[in-house]
Amino acid sequence: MTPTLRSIAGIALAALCFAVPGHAGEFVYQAERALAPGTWLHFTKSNRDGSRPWQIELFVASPTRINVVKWAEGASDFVEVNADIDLARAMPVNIQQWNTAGGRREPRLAMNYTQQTLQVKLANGQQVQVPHAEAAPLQFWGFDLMGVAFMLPHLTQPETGFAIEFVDPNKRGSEGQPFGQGLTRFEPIGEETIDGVVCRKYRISGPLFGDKEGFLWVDRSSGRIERAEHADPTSTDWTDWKLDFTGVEQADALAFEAFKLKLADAQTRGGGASLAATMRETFQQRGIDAVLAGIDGWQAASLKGLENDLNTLGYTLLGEQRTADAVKLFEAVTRRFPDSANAWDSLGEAQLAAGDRKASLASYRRSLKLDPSNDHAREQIAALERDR
Amino acid sequence: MLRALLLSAAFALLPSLCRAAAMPAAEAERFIADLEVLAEALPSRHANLFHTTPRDTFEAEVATLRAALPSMSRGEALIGLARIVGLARDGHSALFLLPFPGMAPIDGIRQLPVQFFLFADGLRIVAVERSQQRALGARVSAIGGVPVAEALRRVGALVPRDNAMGEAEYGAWYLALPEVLDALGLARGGAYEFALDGVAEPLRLVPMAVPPDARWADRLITLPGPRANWVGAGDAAATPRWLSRTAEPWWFEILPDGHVYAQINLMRERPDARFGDFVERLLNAVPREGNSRLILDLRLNRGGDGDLRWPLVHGLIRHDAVNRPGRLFVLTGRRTFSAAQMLANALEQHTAAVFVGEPTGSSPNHYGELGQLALPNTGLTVFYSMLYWQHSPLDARVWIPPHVAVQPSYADLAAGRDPVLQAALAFTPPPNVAELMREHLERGDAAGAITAFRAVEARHRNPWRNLFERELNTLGYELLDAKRANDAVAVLRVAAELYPDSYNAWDSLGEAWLAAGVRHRAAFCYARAVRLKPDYQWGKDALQRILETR
Repeated sequence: MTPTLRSIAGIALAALCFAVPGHAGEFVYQAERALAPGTWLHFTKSNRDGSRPWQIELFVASPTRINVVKWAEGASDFVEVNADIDLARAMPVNIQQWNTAGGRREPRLAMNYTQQTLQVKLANGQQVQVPHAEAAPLQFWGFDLMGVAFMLPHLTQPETGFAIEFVDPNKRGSEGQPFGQGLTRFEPIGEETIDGVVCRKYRISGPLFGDKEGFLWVDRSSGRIERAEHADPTSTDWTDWKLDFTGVEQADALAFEAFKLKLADAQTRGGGASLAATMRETFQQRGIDAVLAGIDGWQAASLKGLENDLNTLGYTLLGEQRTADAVKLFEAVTRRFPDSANAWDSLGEAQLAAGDRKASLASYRRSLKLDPSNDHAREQIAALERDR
Repeated sequence: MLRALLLSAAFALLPSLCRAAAMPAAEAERFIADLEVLAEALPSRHANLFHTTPRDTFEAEVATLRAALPSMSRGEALIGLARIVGLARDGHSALFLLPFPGMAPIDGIRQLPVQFFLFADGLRIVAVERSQQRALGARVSAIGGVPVAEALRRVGALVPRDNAMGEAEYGAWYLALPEVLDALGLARGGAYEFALDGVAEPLRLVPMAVPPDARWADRLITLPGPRANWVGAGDAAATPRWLSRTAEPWWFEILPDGHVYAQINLMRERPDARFGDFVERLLNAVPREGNSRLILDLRLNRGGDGDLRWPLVHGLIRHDAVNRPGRLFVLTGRRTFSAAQMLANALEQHTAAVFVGEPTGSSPNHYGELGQLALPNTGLTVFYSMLYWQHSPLDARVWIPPHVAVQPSYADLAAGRDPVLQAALAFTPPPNVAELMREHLERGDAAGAITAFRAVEARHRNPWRNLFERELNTLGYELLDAKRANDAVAVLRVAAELYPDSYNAWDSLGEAWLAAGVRHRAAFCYARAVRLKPDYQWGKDALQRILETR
């Protein structure tokens, strides 16, 4: 199934099922309520019990542009998103995402909204189009609720609730491609005070969150997100999630750039150390099963680097001719990152080294399906089919 | 250790397969008594019995055999003793199951009317009794239902050997001994069956007595006497030069084109036949003008007295005309052993000789100097290495690999051809591959460089010597210095593919991958380098750095 077809079906279904009163018209830009350029909001994203905390920075670069950075103390990488917001539509129309690891800033994603279609360019050069029926503003699930946070002060009738349409690139089964998740509903269910701030509380529901229930608390006076939490983790990085507002300051754009440079510096100084050496020590002392059992713990220290570190360890094991252990490890990596073409490619290589040609062929085929530009997988498949 | 344990497992199969009758109790007692003698004497007499097998394993194997002897047949007991001596894992330590010239065959060891030889394409029958002549030349696929690769692995753990060449040589002989097949689980119900490729019916053979004049160790041709009713490879062809005068200790012949072919089969002289005199005649026969080549054939030389090597080495050093690259050739093979290995060592070290053929059957440094231990109760004689012959403490090679590899083939043997001698006569040195590749690389054509290299490599294919490793390595580092990491990877990958046992090839490729920014491939390469050379600190450090950073 192609994602595009699925997203059309999803949107059509959503339009039928929910008689949604709202659309972009629920948000009307009001200059006096807008976050001033230079506003720097701090959030913490974690599991609901507070474990595995990551920091999210939302920096208002101009009246229509936000910079978002997601990072953690001691982690080996950080994620950066820049978005240009169309204030009339209440949604980002240009988005770029980078991952920075080991001091290297790699583009991951670029998106452009034109003529009711989101054009997405993936890191591998592949282009995907996601149509948008305009039942509600389109937001990208990938920098959490930061696009929504920027627009929330401009909600015209906060007491009646609103809807957002989400596009999600991380969803299981999306094979690495973003596709529409349909409408997410935010229904008001009363007021609560958090840390002395009177908040409007909304119930969150919709297919993006697996139709499970979650909540959003918004500062009644300013429209600033105070807290959000949800039972559905939406990605393997968490078991569930919670977003907490932790502070605000004013800074100029240069200071925000300096902050990002500091993060990159911390990585090259050792903050960005690979975990592969630790993993290998664990392997040498306690064997492969201890490594597999430790993956959850290591994930906390690595947002996107975990897969790379496991990959490096796996190839080290292959080099040491501990082939059976390498297969076990790569199998675990594909379980954790089922949409990673690289993980399947590595598994294929290890299975081939172990002499299991049939399994190797299946893994390479899966890798090629996930990433049609994987020439290595294509060559290996051809060789395996030729020598069968 | 592992190999010994596996072997024990193979022996453990034995009782369920075929039981020959147990020895009388008195005979078993004699074997037990001699096992005690052996276990006591061997560790003190051998130069270093535990150079490969740890003492614990040796003692455990002795205890296991001692317990099993009372229920063993005589044949099993003989193989059991041979295996204990074989734990020394060198070419001179053995209870030799086939007799040397002048020795009586061992009572209780029989032979099948067949002779095998291990070729590059498998184990083939090179001689067999006439009634089975359809099997001549056939490739054996299984012995007693066991795939031949596994059979070779099992017999390899039993034979005296300095290296894999020795295993190939002795393994082929021992697989024709029914008692060996019984002991290794390669016989079924007392029948000796060999499955042959392309022949529906397996070859079934009936044991015969070992002929007393076996001369087995230096022949590749059908023997006279008891084996006159055999057929052998090459019977129909003219006997090639190298198999025509095997009974002579040394001889030479001037070939029609002026090259000189000398065969040295034995390193032992008599007062009336001095090696030095032969060397003088030989070197006088090699012209000092012109381009005559001298070919020294050591392929059938199983040794003798290593000191005999000096007249030849000194004579060659003085013979400026022939002691040059491309003029002087040494032909070696799996039977180049012991004192012949010492001669080969000296020729390699002191002359410009080009080696052609197979690797030598001993390692340059090896345990040797045959000692004899007579076992008083059974009357058997056990041999062992009295000395460690070390010509260089830095030489850890298992053999001298040939510069020009020529694998023996059945077709050549059957047609009476000698491709090894032909290769020496046709020798031209390989081109400078780095120069060749640079021409392509300067145009930015890495793929063309690799293609050109592969064509040269295919013409000089050598499974035993990393012929082009140094040139590829140097070229790879040139490319790295020029910041052409991808080209360096392309070149050094070929080196690692061709020479996968070279830690340095993997180390260099690791450095290239690192320069190309592909860390997981670099980790693989350094891990492989360290696996091949566990004390390689630089590689260990490099791997650790990769694992610690991204």
